[in-house]
Amino acid sequence: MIKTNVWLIAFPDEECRIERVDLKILMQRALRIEVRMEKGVNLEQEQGRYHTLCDRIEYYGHLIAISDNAVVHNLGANYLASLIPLQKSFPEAVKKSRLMASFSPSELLGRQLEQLLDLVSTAGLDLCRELMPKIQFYQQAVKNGWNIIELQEVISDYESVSEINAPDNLRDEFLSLHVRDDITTGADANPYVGLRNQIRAVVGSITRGEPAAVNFSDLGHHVIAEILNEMVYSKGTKISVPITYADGSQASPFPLFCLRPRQIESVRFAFKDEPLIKVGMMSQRHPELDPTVKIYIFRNQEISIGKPAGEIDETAYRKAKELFAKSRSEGKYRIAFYQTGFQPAIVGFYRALTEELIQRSYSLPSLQVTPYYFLGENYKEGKTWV
Amino acid sequence: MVSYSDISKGLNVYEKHVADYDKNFRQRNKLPKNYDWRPYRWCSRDIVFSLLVVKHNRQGNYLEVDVCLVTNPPQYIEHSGARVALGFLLSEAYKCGGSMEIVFTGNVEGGRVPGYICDLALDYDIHLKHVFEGHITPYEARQLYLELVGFSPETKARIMKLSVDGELTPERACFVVLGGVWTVAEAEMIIQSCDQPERILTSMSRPEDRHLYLNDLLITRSVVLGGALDRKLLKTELTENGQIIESEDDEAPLFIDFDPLYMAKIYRAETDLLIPWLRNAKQVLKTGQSLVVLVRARSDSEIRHYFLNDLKSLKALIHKYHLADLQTMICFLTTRDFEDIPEVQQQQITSLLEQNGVYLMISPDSLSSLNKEAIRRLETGRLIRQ
Repeated sequence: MIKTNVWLIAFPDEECRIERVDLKILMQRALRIEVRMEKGVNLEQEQGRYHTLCDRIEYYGHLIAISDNAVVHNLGANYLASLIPLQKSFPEAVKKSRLMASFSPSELLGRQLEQLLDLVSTAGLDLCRELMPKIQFYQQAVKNGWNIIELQEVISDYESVSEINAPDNLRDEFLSLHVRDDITTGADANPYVGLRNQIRAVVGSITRGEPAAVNFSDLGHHVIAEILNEMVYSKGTKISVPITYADGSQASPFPLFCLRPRQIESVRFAFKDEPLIKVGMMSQRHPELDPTVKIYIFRNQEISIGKPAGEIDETAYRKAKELFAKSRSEGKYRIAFYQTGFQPAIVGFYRALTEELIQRSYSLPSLQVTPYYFLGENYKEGKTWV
Repeated sequence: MVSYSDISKGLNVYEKHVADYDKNFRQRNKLPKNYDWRPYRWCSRDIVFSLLVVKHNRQGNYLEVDVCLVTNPPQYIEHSGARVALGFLLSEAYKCGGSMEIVFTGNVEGGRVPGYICDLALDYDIHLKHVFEGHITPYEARQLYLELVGFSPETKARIMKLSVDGELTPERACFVVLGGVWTVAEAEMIIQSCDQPERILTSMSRPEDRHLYLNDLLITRSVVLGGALDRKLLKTELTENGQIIESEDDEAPLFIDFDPLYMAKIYRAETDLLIPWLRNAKQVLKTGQSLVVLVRARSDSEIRHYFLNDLKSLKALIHKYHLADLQTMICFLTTRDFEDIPEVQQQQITSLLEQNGVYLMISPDSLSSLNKEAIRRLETGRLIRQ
């Protein structure tokens, strides 16, 4: 296996001007992009710019490293690997301490050091053992007012040996992994029954520990909403089914068998004085709905972003979740949801709605969503979520 | 053998699908959905290997095959047509996001799994249990896919280990090769030499996590550079009507291997080959002779910073390979950025390499073009089903 050495290069402000480039300016620009990436607007462009700037900073970092005016320290080949469990377990603290960043200007170093020490106290010394030499180096850099660039060097690790099991045992283990080994019979032509069977098959597979996922692509939007409603309100052990789309992207799992139907009387009573608010699904897609609906849940610009379906699902989920969370303090809502077709947005919306209804399930009904689907000539009412 | 009537029936069904496709999509300038029947013809130059018509069955969440005609031309390796057909079917099943089950309709040899595919499975020692029902189960599909790609036993073992550890699905590892993101040799380089190959193969790192992303990029760009050398060495030219043309399916007889400890490519020629990209030297790799290339895709500043460490790796590499065969040629491959190093240092590096009997190989690609290609591959990987 090959390994990666991480080098710390510390240098004073005077060394920041190389040729006609001012490293300080490059670092300030990259820092501004870090803030913009947090917001997630134009993320791909910002990521591209960030990469270009970091690439330039690291390039000059190598030139500084071979000059006589830098202090260089090698963190070794285990440092990089130690970042992964830290990021998995403490993503927020890792982000705050800019542990993944490859540069740090002198003005920011003190604050970053404090955050690193906070991370160590949160994560514990065991997980942060590889971080200690870096912290010591940062302390020295703060004292001297240095800037730091962190570089990587891919190296041969010819002393390591392969740690793979003996192939025979491994093959047996591999072959005994749970994967479906039966055949599908009677795939029904009716899409409702087909999706219901598909979800049931996936539930069966994941209960047996076999990998499986529900594929919502290419299905009618009304079919998705109706069957999800049925599955969410059905009796059974709560379970979350993985979701995949035809472009291969995956979305967060969808919770099923997690809500109990409310009594009709209690729902009627709860919403008897509430006006029905007509809400469209997405702006700009069906302008003929504009006179009918008061508002749209999603802005087309925010959802139709040309990304993999899994990411669109996630964006729709976050938007809907925000909306429902905000509505909690505003009283009861009785919504007629004019649903139009865009599978990942629909799945994201109903995932957020299901989670919201789970949260509200111990109190009196305060949110009712009834989907309306355009089937043929006019809109028809679907099953209510409450 | 497939009967004449089966072939004739298959051709008729194929023609009907082509006519339907033409009418419904080509003439209307529309693209088909995954769930529409799509005819494919797999050829190399003027030889047809396979005719296929497939669609994703939404209700059953499997890939349905209505035509599967296969030929195994004697000029090509055994089962060539079946390999092409099965490779496409498995990749399409994966791409559509289905369960990986493949179902052949009654139009395919009366509804059974085609004989040529059964023969290929037998060759791989994989027993298909539902041949006469016309089904390949997800369990069988997984084994077939892993065998079909052509990974070395060491790479297969690593994929199995990653799969057993729950880090990477074997289907994904196969799809990134047959789906065209990586070649077999490139994927092997990643799988065997990296501590966590799943990070690259699943494009897990995001640019904002600079350290992890940079590490993936450093490895990926070396892999791309190694792949470029593979292609340069494998490329053959044919003369047709007095004009030189590049052959799509005819490659120089060359055995490609990889040393994961050094990230070094190993080539053994079965005919004399001119070694490309050598600086200040013209050398021929003689039949039976080995060529070991330490691949380091570095910028000029990186070469200056890390060359002495690379020299240490080279010395260890020379020791290892000259111990087995003194005739083995050792090369150090880097990017065109080498030319940007000050002349004096270039000469120092060249003479140090010469002293150790190492040839300097400079790729025509600059680091920035390798970076672009590496980023493109990582981004393509993000759009593929996980």
